[in-house]
Amino acid sequence: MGQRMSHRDLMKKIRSVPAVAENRKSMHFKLGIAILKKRLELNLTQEELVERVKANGGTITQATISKMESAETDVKLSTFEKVLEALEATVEVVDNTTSATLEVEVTPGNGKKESVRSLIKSAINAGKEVMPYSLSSEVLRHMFEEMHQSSTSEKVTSGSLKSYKGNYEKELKELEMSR
Amino acid sequence: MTITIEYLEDPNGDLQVVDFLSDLADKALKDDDYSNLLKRIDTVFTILEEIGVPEIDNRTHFATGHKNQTITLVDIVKELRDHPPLLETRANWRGVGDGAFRAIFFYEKDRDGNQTIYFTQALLKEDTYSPAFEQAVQISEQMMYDFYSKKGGTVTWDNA
Repeated sequence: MGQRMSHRDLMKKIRSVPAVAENRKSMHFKLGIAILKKRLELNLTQEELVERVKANGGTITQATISKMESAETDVKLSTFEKVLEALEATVEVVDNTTSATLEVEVTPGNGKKESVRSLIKSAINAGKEVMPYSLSSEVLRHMFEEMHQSSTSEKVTSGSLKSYKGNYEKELKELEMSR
Repeated sequence: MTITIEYLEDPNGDLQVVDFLSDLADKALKDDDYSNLLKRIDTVFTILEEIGVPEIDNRTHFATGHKNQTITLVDIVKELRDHPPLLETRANWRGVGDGAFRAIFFYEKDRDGNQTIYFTQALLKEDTYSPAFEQAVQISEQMMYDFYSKKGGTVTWDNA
């Protein structure tokens, strides 16, 4: 007779494996699942979401949306941005002081443009490498840690990311030079 | 909407899927390929926990191979042709054998959309045609009929 674990206990065991636990904290995992839920909530097929992105002037393939929703790690932040915009959604990064985990939710709402900038500055000032539009989960986690230390709550919206795009590289250079 | 996931006893009285996944978790502690596969399995189970079995139009997914090669079409949930209402859930990582994790299940949905998913068998499929997989399908069918027989119901389905 084998083990008599419940689903909950089985998932607890699987999710305690370090690589799995790490993956579950990543931006790709949290955003991917959140985007899938949001798309289904809106009753959109992947093809319809592709059309929405195109209607906004962007380009994306159904395969990329599928990769995103499967939490594959080679999807750029700028691609998430296009999809979030098409879903008319924002990403909320919540400072969860009790569990100290990064919570990412796709919710309708308004964000603050400044918060993206301050988060990225914090990461750079701490010596993290921040490449334009390829924020790694490590960087995002660092950003969260910064937020956690200052006990603040920040929101990152697709709109704020887009508006930030123009000054992004310039600001990175300035920050790098001032270090 | 609530999603409940259960594991059925096989003819030996074992929860084969639980034993199989638990064994994979043990291997993943020592082997990077197993941990990569387990990450993908966890993603699939998370999706099932969060949204249940997607409607048939929303079941197509793609993935990237371990060398980041061209995207491969994968369905996280797929109907088992010729064996309705059985379905399989899938996760791929080629570093482990042929890299095709498959778990067979069926599910019930009530009027409010609440789902109960019953897993029957799980394995790593070695080839497109796999005798072990065919056997798992046969066992799963029997487990499903036994389940409904004990429950006093009959097996019906619309689109699987």
